[in-house]
Amino acid sequence: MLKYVLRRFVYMVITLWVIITATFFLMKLLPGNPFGEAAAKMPPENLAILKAQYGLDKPEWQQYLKYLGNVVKGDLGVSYQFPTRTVVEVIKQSFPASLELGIESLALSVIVGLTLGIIAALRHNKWQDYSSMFIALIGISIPSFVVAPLLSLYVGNKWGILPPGLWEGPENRILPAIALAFGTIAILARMMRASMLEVASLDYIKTAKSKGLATGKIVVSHMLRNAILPIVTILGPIAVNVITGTLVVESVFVIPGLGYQFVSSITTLDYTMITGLTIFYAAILIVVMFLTDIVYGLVDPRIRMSGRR
Amino acid sequence: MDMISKDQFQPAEKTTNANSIVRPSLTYWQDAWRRLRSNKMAMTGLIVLVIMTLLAIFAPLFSKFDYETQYLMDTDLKPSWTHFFGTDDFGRDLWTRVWWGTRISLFIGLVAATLDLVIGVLYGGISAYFGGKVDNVMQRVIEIIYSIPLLLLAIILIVFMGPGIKSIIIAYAITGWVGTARLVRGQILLLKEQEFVLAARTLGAKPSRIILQHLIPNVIGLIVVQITFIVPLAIFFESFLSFIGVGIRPPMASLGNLINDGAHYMRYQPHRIIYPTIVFSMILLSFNILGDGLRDALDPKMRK
Repeated sequence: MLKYVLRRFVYMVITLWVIITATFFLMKLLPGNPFGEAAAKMPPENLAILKAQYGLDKPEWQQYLKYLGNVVKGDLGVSYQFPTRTVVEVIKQSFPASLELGIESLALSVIVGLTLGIIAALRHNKWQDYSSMFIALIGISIPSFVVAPLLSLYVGNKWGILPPGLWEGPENRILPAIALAFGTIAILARMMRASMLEVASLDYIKTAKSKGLATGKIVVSHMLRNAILPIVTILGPIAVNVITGTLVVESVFVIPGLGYQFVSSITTLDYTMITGLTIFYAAILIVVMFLTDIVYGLVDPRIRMSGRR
Repeated sequence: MDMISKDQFQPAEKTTNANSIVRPSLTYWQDAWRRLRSNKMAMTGLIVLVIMTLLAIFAPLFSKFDYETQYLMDTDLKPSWTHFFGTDDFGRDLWTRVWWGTRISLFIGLVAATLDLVIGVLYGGISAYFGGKVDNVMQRVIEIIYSIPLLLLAIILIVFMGPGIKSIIIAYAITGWVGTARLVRGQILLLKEQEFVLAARTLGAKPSRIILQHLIPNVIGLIVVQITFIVPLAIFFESFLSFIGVGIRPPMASLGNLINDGAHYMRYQPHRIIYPTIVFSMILLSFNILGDGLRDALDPKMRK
């Protein structure tokens, strides 16, 4: 097990390194001069001082090592558009809203998604199954950037049931959380249904049935426990779904979160902000994937074994 | 007891010949098509897709307007017989723009899926066929690429390469093939142990011939199913990028930037978001149900 964890950890570090390196070289590829138009009018001595101050007079590999060191220390640089703000400050300021939204939508999608999946499996090939799977299909086909504006337009504006945007009281949380949960519900429901159906055909369920155990008891204590295990494997894709979702949902509902920040830094071409936030998001996702692997290795010994091969 | 006399018997006449009882044998594809045809959901998906594709090709050709000319007298019109989907804030005809956008989206979907498949199938095929050290190294590379969040990588690639169709396709091709490669590898690992591969090898076929002529044709069914899942993914990818502003730039239309535009104006002109949204969702929904149907039709394991 320790060997397996170590191996996963090494992969995680390599992946992070690949991403940081990629962002460094992409920054180097940018045309123009880091000091903007003012540099053209500056006397060369001043320019040299400026370059020395930012370490740009050193060879590229030294700059690269310095950049790598800074990122490891948690220094992601200063905003390109607003030089008074550092990237880390922005993250500290706007990440809590995103995190809250993410957790709320995750809770919603776990409850709804698993319920749909369980109902579909228990009523296999009946109308409950078909309607649950149709809902799931719609959830997969209609992405958040379609759901979010429509919810905001109809529920928020036309019918006036809930506020169409902003981030103030609890009533502002509902619509964004639903919009963000839509796709995740679909993934979870499909996975849970398949997993439940697989478990239902196993021998120990037959045994439980034949010894006269009540259906409710079989479902809760025999089927659910085993059926829920494979769900752990899709934690990674779900995290991706939620994070990409927040980019869209926060922009549509004008929520002061990190996703909103990211999209606006793309529109203003704030390069340092874009790379900084990308590294931050990538780190979150990679850590989630790492944890997923570990948890799955813990619950299912077969994965550990094949991982060693 | 009565004797049974000979004249009670008569020779049975040969009324049918064996060939007429046996139905003509079906090829794999005929069989799959027969099964797909009986699946109403999947056929609906297929028909919707065909209609959408035809509209995407022909609607802009036969429209009186083109996608970029601005008619500043006709801004923000509601849908009517001249402008089926209304016009936008520059007086551009939305009917033309929506179908033009569909064309771009489908084009990107198809090209990206093709690249994805070519790279994925070859990578997976080579990795599985050679096995051993080659497989080991190639799988480690995949594991690293697999854990890089693709959409983020694509966003920074496009931000730095500059937006446009070419950047989107390149970004997708760099990042998208890993899933296909894994799928194909798994399938070929099973196939390569079978006798026909051994026979080909004994007869002296080169690895490239065995992979291309013997192994890949046997995973075609799987690949066809995979296409119906990759194309909508690529379309989603384009639209998502256009929505957050790094994809296709106006005046060029794409479903993503039409939806994004529509979202800004939706409060006063709901038609601007409704139509692109309907078209976009129908395309994705159709691809998904067609894909589910194809998987049932092509996968021999599902046969009863």
